Amino acid sequence: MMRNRRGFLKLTASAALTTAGGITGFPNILRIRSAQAANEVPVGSLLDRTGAFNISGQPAIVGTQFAVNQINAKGGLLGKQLKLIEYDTQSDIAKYTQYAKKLILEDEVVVTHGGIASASREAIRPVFDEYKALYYYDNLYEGGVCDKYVFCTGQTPGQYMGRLAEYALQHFGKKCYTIAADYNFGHISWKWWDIYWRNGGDISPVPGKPHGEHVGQVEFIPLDVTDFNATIQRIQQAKPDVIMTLIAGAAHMNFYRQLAAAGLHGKINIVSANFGSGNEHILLAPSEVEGLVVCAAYLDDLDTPANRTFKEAITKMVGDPKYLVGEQVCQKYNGWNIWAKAVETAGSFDREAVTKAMESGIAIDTPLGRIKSDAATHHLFYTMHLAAVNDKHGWNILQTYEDVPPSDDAKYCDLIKKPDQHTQYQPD
Amino acid sequence: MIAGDTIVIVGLEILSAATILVLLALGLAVVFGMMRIINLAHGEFLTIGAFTTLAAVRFGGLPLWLGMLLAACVAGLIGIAIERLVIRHLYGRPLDVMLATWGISLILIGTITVMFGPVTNGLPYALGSFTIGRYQYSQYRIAMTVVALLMMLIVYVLFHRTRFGRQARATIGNPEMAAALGINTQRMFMLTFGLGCALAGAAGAVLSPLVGVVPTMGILYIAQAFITVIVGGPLALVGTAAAASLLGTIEALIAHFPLFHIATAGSCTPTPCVIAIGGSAFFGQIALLVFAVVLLRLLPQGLTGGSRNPY
Amino acid sequence: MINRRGDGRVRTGGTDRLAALLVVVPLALVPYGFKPYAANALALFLIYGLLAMSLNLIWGYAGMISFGQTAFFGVGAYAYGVIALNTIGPVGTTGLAVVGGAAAATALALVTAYFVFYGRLSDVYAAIIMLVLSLVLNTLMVSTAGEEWVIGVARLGGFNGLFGQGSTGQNIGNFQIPPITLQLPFMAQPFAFRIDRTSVAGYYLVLGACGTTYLAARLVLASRLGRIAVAIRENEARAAHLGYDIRLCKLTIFTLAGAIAGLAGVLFASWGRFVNPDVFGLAFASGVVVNVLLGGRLTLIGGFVGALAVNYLTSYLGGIAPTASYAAGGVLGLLYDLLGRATQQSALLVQGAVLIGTVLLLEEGIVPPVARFLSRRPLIGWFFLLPLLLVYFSAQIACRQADFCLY
Repeated sequence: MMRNRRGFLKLTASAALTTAGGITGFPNILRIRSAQAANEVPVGSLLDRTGAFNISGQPAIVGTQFAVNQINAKGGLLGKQLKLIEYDTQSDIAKYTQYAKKLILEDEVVVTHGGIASASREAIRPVFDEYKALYYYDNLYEGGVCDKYVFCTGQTPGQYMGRLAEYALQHFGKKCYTIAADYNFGHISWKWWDIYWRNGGDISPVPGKPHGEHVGQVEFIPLDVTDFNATIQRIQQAKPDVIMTLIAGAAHMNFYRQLAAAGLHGKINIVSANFGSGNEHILLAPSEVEGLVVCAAYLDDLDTPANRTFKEAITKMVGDPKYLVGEQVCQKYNGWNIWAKAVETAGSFDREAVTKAMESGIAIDTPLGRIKSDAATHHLFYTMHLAAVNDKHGWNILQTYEDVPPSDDAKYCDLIKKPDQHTQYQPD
Repeated sequence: MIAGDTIVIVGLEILSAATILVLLALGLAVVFGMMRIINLAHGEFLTIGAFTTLAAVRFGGLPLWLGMLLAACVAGLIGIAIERLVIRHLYGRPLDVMLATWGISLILIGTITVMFGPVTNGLPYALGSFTIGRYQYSQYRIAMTVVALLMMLIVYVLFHRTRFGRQARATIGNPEMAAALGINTQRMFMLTFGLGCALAGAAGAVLSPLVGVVPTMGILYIAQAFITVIVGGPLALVGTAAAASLLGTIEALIAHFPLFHIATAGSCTPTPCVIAIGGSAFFGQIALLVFAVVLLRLLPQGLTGGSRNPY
Repeated sequence: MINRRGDGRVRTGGTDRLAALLVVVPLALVPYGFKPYAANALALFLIYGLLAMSLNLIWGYAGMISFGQTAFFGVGAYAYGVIALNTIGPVGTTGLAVVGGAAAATALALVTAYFVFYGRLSDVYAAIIMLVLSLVLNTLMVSTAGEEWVIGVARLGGFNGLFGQGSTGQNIGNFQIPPITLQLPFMAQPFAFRIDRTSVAGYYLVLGACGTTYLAARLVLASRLGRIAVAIRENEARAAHLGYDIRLCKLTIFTLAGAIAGLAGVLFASWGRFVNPDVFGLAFASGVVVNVLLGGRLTLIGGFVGALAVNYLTSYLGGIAPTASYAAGGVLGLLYDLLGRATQQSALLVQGAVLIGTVLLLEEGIVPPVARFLSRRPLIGWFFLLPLLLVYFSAQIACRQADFCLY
C-alpha cells in the first residue's frame, strides 16, 4: 500500500468517499438533527428542480416557496409555522416514489404538494393511498383522478376545452385536425377533445347546437420528435379550418415554427389546450403564433389588482424584475392557499378534517380570479379566460368565464356518494 | 395513384432527413470514424453550437450566418480544451473514453443550464416558403442541404488537398511513423478533435432555427449520429453521406406512408382499435434503427467496410 | 477476496469472511435500527446494486461493456407487472410472475447476445447497439398510452406507467402492480412481501435475493465457464487461439447477466409497484455504468458498493434546499446566483465529475484498494472496523427500541 504514492492516494480517496457516503447517507449519531420545534408543522413538496422537467419544476418551486413564506409571514397556520421540506426528484420517477415514502414515513408531513408530469402523480398516488396521507396535485392535466386522499387543483379538459370548442366552431369552422403528444396527456386529452368538439363544447350532445367534425386521423407525435415535415404535409392535404394542438415539451414547440416557415401561419387557425403553460408565447415570434387561441386559467397578462400585486411580490422575491410569472407559479400558489384555507376552516391539520373542509365548498380569491372546491370530484371550479396571442408576445383576453365546473370528472366521479375510490377515470 | 406533387414533396422530405443526418454525423465521423474516439459528448457540442448562435443573435444582434461561424469556433475551442484536459490521457482506452466523455456531457449539460437556464429558446426563421402543388415547403430546409454539402466539401478539401490534411491522415493512420517523420502528433490529434467538434457546433447552429434550443437537446441526436457513422463505415466522408442518404430515405418514406394496420381488442372511439404501422414520425425512427441494425448484421464493417484504404 | 490473478478459484479465508460480515451484518440489521423509510430506500439501492452486479459480470468477467442492461431490467419489470396483474386475481400468488419476468428478460438477452456475438460485431458497436435497444424500447413504451395497448387486464399505460384495469361499472378503475406474493409450503395463506410501517419482509426478500444471486454468480465464476470468461477478458484473441468457444462463453455470460438484470427488474416492480418507460431511458442506463465504474468494474461486489454510494449521494443532494439565490444585486449577487443555480444542477455536475474523476484517477474503483488494504491488514478489520460497526448498530437498535434516539 505504501509502495507507491498513487496507490496511497487511491486508497485515501476510496476511504474518503466511503466515509463521506456513510456520513451523508446514513442518518448517524454524529449529526443530530434539530428537534422538531413544538410550534412547527412539517409540510412536503416534491418537484423537479433538475432534469428534463425542471422547466416546469423551477417556477413551481418559486410558487411553493412564495406561498409558504407568505403564510408563515402572516403568522402561520393555526398558530404554527410551516416547515417546508422540499425534495428534488431530479425528473426521475423512482425518486418520486422514494421521496414520497420519505416524506410520509420519516418526515411525517401533514400534506404533500407535488408532481409535474402525470406519470409522477400516478407513481406516488398509490403511496399516498397506501399510507392514507394527504396529497395535492397542482397541475393542469388530462383529468379523471378520483381519489379520496388526493385533491387536484389543476384544470381539467372540461375547463380548458369546452369554451374553446364553442369559440372555434363559431369563428373558425367545423373541420378540425388534431395533433397530440404521444403519451398519456395527449391520448386522454384527445379523447376528451373528440367528445367536446363533436358536441360543440359540451360533454353530452345538445340538440340544435353547432357541432364539429374531425378531418384526417388524429396524429400522435412522440415526445422527442423535432421534425414536423411529414405532419405539416398531411395537414395541408387534409385542409382543416382549425388545428387543435395537444402537444407538450420542448421538442414540440418547433411545430409552430415549422408551420410558420411553411407559410401556413394565418392561413389555418390554431387552438390549443396547453399552449402558453411553457411560456411558448414569449419564446416564439408573433409572426409564428399570433392569433392562436387558448382557454386558460392564469395568464400573466391578466390586468387585475390581485395579479399585479402577485407579480410584484414574486419578482421581488426572485430578485429579477424581468422574471416571467407563469402558470406554474400561480398554480402552486393557489394549491397551497386553498389547502391553507381548508386547514383554517377545519381547525386542524388532520387529513380527514381537512378533507371534510375541502368538501364543504370553500372558495378563495387568487391572482387569476375566484376558485372554489368541488366537493364530489376533489377538483376546483375555475375562472377561465379565452385569449388570443397578440403581436407583443402577450395575450388579448377575449372573454372570461366564472365558476367553470370540472365537467369531465363530474361525469364519473362522486366521492361523497362513493368515497372509497382511488383511481383515474378515462372517457368512454 | 400518388400525385405528382406528392412525389416531389416526399423527395424533399427524404432530402431533408438525409441532410439532418449528415449534419449530425459529420463531426462525429471525424472524431469517431477517423480517430476512433467514442465521443458521447458529441450531442453537447451540437448544443454548444446552438446556444452560441442563440446568444450571438439574441444578445449580440449578429446576423444568423455570423452566429453560425462563431458557433463553430466556440465549439472547436471547447473541443480542443477537452482534448487537452481529458481525452489526451485516454488514447487506446476506448471504454474509458466513452465513460469520460459521458461524464463531460453531463457536466456540459449542467453548465449550460446554469448559464442559460432550463427554458427553451427559439431563433426566428430567416427565409420563407415556396409552393409545390398543394403543399408549401420551407426554403430554410433547402438552405440546410446546401450548407451540409458545403460542410462536406470543406472537410474533403481540408483533409485531401491541404498539408494539414495529409499530416492529419498520416497521424491517424500510423502515429508512430508520423512522429518519426517529424509531425507533431499531439498537435494533430488536438486539432483534428477540435475540427470534429467545430463541425458539430456548426451543425447545431444550422439546426437551431428548426428545433428548440434546450440544454438537453443533444441527447435526442446522439443515437442517430452514432448509428449513421457506424453504418457509414471507415470512410468518413463517403460513408457518412451514403449512410445518411440510405437511412434518411428509409426514415422519410416510413414516416410518410403507413405500411399496414393491426386491429386490436379494446374499446376505442371514434374508430375501431387499430394500430397503424408506419405513417408517423415514431415509425420513421424505429425503421431507421431496425434497418441500421439489420444492415450491420450483414455488413459488420459498415457500408464502406470493404475498402482497403480508408484514407 | 476476489483473486486478482483471475484464475477463478474462490479463495476462502479470513478476509472473505470478514468482508461478508462487514457487509451483510449492517444490511441485515438496518430495519431494526432505523425508521421504516431507511429499509425502503436501502431496498431500492440494493435492487440497483443487483442490476449493477449484472453489468459487473459482463464487464469484469467477460470484458464487454453493455449500456443496455436496463433493457433487460425494464423487460423483467414490465413482464412481472403484466403477469402479476393478470394472475393475482385467479391464483392469489405472483410466483408465476416472478418466474415469467426473469424468463422474459433472459429470453431477450439470449436473442440479443446471439445477434451480437454471432454477428461478429466488435465490442464497441455491440455496446452501442445495446444502448439503441434500450432507447427503442423507451420510445415504444412511451407511445403505449392508448387503450388499445392492453394485455389481459394490464394496461401498458405509456408514460404514466403500467396498471391494471378493474371493472367498476362502466368505467375504468385501476389497481397497482401487486408486490411479490408467495405461498411457501409452510404458509397457510399467500404472504405479500411488503415494506411498510408494519412489515419489512420485502426488504429481507430483496436482501436474500441479492445475497443468493451473488453467491450463485461466484459459483459460476469458479467453474470452467468463469475461467474461460476471465481468459477472454484478458486477451480474447489468445483465448480463441487456445481453442475455447468464445462466442458460446460470451453468450452464456451475457444471458446470465440478463437474467440477473431481469430479476432486479422484477424486484423493482414489486418495490415501487410502479414501472414506466423511464427504466429504458438514457439516464438510467448511464446510471448503472456510473455505479459499476465507481465501485470497481473488476470485482463482483463493486457494482453494489457503487450503487449504494451513488444513490445515497444523489438522494442526499436531492434534499438540499437551494442556497440563497434571491440575494442582493451586483457582482456578489451574480456570484451568489450562479452558485445557487450550480447547486440546483448539482446532481448532474457531481455525476459527471465522478465519472471523469473515476476514469482518470481511480480506474479500479473504490472496492479494490480497500479490499487490498484489508487483505494485508486483516487485524484492523477484525478488531477495529467490525467492532465499530457492531457498537454503532447496537446503539441504533437500542435507542430505537427504547424510542430514545437523539433524532
